[in-house]
Amino acid sequence: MSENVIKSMKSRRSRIASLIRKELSTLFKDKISMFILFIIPVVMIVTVGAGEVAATEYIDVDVWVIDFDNTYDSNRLIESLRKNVTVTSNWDVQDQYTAEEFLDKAKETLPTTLIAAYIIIPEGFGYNLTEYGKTSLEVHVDSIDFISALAAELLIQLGLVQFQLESFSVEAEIFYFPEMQPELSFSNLLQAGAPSIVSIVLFATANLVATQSVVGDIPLKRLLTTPLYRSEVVVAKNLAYSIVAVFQIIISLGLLKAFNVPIYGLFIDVFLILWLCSMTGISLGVLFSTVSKTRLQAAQMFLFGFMIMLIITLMVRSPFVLPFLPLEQTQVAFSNVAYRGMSLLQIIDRILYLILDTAIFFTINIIYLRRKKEFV
Amino acid sequence: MLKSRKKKEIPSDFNTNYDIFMRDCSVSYDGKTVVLKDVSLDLKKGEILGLIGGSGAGKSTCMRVMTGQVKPLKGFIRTANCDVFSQRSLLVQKIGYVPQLEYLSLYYDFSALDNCVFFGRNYQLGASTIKKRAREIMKILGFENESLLKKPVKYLSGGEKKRVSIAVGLVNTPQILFLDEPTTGLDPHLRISVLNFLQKINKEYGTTMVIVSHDLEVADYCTRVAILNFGELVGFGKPKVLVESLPSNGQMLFAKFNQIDIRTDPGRIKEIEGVENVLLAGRNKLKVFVSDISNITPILSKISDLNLELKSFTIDSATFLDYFRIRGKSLETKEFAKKEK
Ligand SMILES: Nc1ncnc2c1ncn2[C@@H]1O[C@H](COP(=O)(O)OP(=O)(O)OP(=O)(O)O)[C@@H](O)[C@H]1O
Ligand SMILES: [Mg+2]
Repeated sequence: MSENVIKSMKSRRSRIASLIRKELSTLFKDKISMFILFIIPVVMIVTVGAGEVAATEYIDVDVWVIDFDNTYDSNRLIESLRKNVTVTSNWDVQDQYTAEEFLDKAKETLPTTLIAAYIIIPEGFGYNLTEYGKTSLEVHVDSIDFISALAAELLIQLGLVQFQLESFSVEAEIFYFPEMQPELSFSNLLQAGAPSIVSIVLFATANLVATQSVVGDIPLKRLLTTPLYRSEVVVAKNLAYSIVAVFQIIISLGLLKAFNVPIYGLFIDVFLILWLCSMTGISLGVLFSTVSKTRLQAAQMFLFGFMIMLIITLMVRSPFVLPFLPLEQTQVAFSNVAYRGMSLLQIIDRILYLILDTAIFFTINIIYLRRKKEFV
Repeated sequence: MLKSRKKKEIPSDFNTNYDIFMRDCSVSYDGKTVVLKDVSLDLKKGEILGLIGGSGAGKSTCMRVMTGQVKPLKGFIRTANCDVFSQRSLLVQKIGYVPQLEYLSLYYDFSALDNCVFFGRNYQLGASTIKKRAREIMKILGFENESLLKKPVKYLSGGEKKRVSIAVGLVNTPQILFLDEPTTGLDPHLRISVLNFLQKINKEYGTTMVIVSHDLEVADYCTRVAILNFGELVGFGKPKVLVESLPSNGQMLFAKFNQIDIRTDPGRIKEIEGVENVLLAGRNKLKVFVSDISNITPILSKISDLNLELKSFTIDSATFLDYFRIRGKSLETKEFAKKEK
């Protein structure tokens, strides 16, 4: 009896291994997939890495600051911001508006896109900083205007980072609201943008290519008339792509190193985070591929899925949806490990969320494929 | 709609000598239209079954029932002595399946050998065993040129692709090989040679075969033939026995006329008492099936009463094509249409 079990496990393993081999050789022969998986990430990362001054010179971003604190620190923050964006603070317009009035005005103006963001420096900003080494502030970005929102966030962060550098050692921990991570000096955009760029690129490319994995494997139907099981198909497809992801990540990390993106935590930890990010993309992609009827439909699912995920990540920052947004989890985990030198244990929640997401997509996939009638 | 979960009863005439045993199977894909109606057929080890019928007759469906790819609404099906659903993992070890369309069933960017390896590995076979076996099969299939074995399948000709697909189906030395239209789309030469190859394999390995086709010449290679017409089995048996089931044991009157009108005259002759069927057999030639071939004088005189000039006549044996044209009604009209063109 147990001998049979061992035998059947062995044969299962060999079928999966064989399918992985087949999958990889198919993938490496497919020029478009190779282009998406390897050329696009390199081009994206290099472009951002090379785009040091260009962005700051050409994009003119207007930001209003409402300073309720009015301390030495808050003033210094405003000065730091001015280095990267055009700042109008309530002190600049104090003849016309009180701080509250200026805030109301900002709320009205943001949707008109005349300003890209407004920042509220709350009372106690400086006190908390000197007393506890932690403080917070609010950055309100107009998320509907996508591009300028991203530019604004990036440039504001640059200002914030410079402010931090002048006041603290690198280890000092500061939490900002809604989000703000780096505490280092950046000489190019990649150094600040690495967490978002790399996670988006890895997730999207793996997801896109994986959407073709099942729907594009037309002879699979015949393979299933051999002793191959449907669940083995799902396992093998996921594993095959995860192997390709390893190469993608190694290349990406090499580029980050080349552009001097600081990584204070363990390299292997960053690798693991990125690999988990790829896995969420892959498992979601294979799922899309299983449920769609045509290649085009699968590609559309990628597009819609990705857009929806980005929009939710930027706009619906509810604690209930965040765990299910792999991009968000990866970015936070990445920057905490790379920029803050945190250990995996300190970001274990993020890691678990990424594993959970993958497991969910994977399980739905197996259940769906086993029930799919067409292959019966 | 609830069906009883009662264990299916095994028909009394079932025994383990059958490689295929199908009783009263009905299939519907959408739950409304029945595409296979109460089909019963069986096949012993080492036999070749031809599943013949027009397009949409349910041939592929019937085969999918045998391979367990489609679950029948009702009926009993055993393939290679396995319950096709509960013993699926055992069944798939014992069968090979060659689907209808190559472009849907082979990895086109890979060579014949690679394809055999992809499929063969699922049967716990090592790559070298598979390749050795693939070469052996390919040799029987007349495919000895090594460069053909290593070229991506997409660069092979239609007939070569067919043979690669057949080889893939044979890679696990199956007890039963299922072939869905192995001869469709090939030139007459290749059709015959593919069928010859299959017969060779059947002899060499004792492989039981089920061949779906709408080429009637397949019947000459089959030990048993099943004719499907709109989901119904209209004939099943040994080709010779089927032909002999025609009037007068398959003996008929082969008549040559000086001049006939193919639109009206066959119908007029069929009206004659004692005439069962009339088939067109070329220019001014008819095959007349009568109920009693030993007594044709009254019929000949009635034919001349119709003002038709009979040039000559012989008594001849009907062919399987004749049988098919008489029993597989739907195709008969098609055959006519083709001929008249
Ligand atoms: N997967 C399916 N879903 C729904 N209907 C189907 C499916 N497969 C076949 N059918 C229908 O069942 C009927 C029989 O189809 P089947 O493929 O068995 O015919 P066939 O005899 O093999 O025809 P052909 O010679 O054209 O291959 C057809 O009317 C077809 O439209
Ligand atoms: Mg068919």
